[in-house]
Amino acid sequence: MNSQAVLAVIIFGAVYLAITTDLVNKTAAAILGGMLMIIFGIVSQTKAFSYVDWGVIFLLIGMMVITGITKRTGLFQYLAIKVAKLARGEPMAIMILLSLVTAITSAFLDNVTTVLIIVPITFLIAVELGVNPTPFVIALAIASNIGGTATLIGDPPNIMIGSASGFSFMDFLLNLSPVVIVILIAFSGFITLVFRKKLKVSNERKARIMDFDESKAITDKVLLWKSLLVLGLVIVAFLLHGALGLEPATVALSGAALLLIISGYKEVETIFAEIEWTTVLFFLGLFMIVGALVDIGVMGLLSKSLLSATSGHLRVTTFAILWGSGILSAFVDNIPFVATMIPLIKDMSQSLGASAVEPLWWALSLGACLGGNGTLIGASANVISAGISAKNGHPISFMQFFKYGSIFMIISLIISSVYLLIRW
Amino acid sequence: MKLAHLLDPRLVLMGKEYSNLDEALHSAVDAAADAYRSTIRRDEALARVMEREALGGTVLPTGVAIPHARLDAFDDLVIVPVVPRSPIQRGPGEPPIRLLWLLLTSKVGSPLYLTSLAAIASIAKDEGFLASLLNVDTPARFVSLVEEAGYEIKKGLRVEDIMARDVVSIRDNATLKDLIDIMYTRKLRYLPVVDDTGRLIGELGILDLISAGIPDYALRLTSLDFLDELAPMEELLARENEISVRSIMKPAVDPLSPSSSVFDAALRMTKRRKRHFPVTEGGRLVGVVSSMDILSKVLRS
Repeated sequence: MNSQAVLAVIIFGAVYLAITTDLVNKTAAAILGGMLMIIFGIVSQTKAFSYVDWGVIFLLIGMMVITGITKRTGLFQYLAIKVAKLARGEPMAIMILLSLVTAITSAFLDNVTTVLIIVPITFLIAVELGVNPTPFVIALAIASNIGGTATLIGDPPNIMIGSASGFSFMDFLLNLSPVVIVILIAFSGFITLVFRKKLKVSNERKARIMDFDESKAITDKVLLWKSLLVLGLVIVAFLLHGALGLEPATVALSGAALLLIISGYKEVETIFAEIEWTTVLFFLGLFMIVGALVDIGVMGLLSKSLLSATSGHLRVTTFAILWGSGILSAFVDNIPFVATMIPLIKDMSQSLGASAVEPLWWALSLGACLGGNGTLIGASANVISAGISAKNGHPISFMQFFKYGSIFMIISLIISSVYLLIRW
Repeated sequence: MKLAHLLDPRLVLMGKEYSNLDEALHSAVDAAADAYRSTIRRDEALARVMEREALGGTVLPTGVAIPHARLDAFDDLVIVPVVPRSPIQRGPGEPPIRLLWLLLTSKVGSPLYLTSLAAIASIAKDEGFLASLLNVDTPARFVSLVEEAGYEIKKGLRVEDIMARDVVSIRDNATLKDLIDIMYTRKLRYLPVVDDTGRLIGELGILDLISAGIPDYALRLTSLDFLDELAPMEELLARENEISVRSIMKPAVDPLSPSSSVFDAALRMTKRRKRHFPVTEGGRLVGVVSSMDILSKVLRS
């Protein structure tokens, strides 16, 4: 490696350290890192900007706008109350059904938004039932991470992998949703086993839940139908985007613009305020940093050494990626990790062929998404859920989450390993 | 407001010899008329000053003259101090004039006029300060000396002037039941919370009391129309003997001090949309000022 490459690795390492230790704001660190790559002449500005994956950026923005409007309708509260009543106020059944609602919602909307909507209503249901809300919060955070694994748009790692690998929405659904369904079934069994004894509720308490009128949870019926129409169109377009020749970002942005227009919001600023600009800018910075590493040849070097370390056995490489990214994602942000792994796998696909490295992509997705369940800090959904819980007098400690999260992360990675073994 | 801030060094006349009071009055009026060319008419000002002089009684026993006049079509207050090189001699038995202050104001008198007169009169009574004032060598020094002496002509209302001092407060370890009882029986909408040493540690408005039964998670929902009752609200009523004031109080954010201006209190009420502010001195609660105090003691006093 020449001195420029060494400098690039140092900048990358410093940014990674800043993100992991949370010493400075991670978005600011990523942007500064990208700029340093340009300032030190490692890449030109034009080159650095060209490494930004606009497919990812615009898909994120588009979905954030659609979600921002849909959540105003009260749809998700309606669903939560509906399933609570469907379970006839039985807390264990409520927990399982709410986990499923969370998982399905997370598969299509981003996880943080999902838990921001579903955790408060779940809290309300648990308090009305007179049971400790903490197990519910933990279960929902984990369910959200599992659900996000299932689709191309479910989780940022998948959005990045989808854009970089060229797999379609359908490819993700066909390759990931079977294993995610198995994991969700296992998860239902797991929470029943560990939480069942803590959830005893009187008939009077159950009656309180049955007394809820879910139809009143819908705040804007007209907006709800408009949102469902656009959401439906967008999902159909995602399913067909391979056949239509449209990229997911185009679908999402079109849907966002359409919903903005038909929803009749003249003051779009309030909707645009729902876009998480910190996340968007974090991606921008990361793409430039990793792009610089690719440009200067560091990534090529790394992929060759990874392949030689596993002596070219793809199966070994697959498991190394699954478990490595799983365990790492439990402790560090999975977004920069996946951003780093993507050029590695791309490099390998050039030397080994695209079809040969296909399992590596799925291993990366499963590892990075499911690994987030390992600890309280493994995924944003965990941090946000715990934050709401703490604000309502039920703080969740690192160990409290770890007790359940780490065990289920290992279970889910074992299921994934078996799946990858059978399928490839 | 300080008297010195009404003075302009360019309108402090010093170092000239005057053979009589009229001569000094002429130069003082000239100076004022020159400086306020568009608003002070020299002839009118001089005539009014002379009319007032004819009535007598504008020279204080310490040799300070305060000639003054109210002018038509003038809406201001201008003060011209004159320090003659040597005292202006007058008739036998009358003290020579060592210092002269000409005051020109509007027909009805500026709100600052009478208080300025009072401040100048009190300078005249302070022989020590008067001596040093007569000793200065430049107009600028004259003004800064008056400023340093701190003569005030208008004192704004302070929080201590309008606040309620016999404040009902509640201890942090009191129960919700105590709180509700006090608020109900004494018809209070606001209570400061103190610890055992009387230090202010929090506050409670009647709205805080009511919203104590509505938890954070409920506020995060887009709508609560789907239910009619909430467990935490019922619990609040059922457990009013156990819930402590400390657990539902709000931390007291920037309390006022007795010397804060009433304007400051009004500003904070506006900014924070809060009607009551605790007043503390060294951390101890000494009073409460409310928007009603401002209404009844300032706006309609």
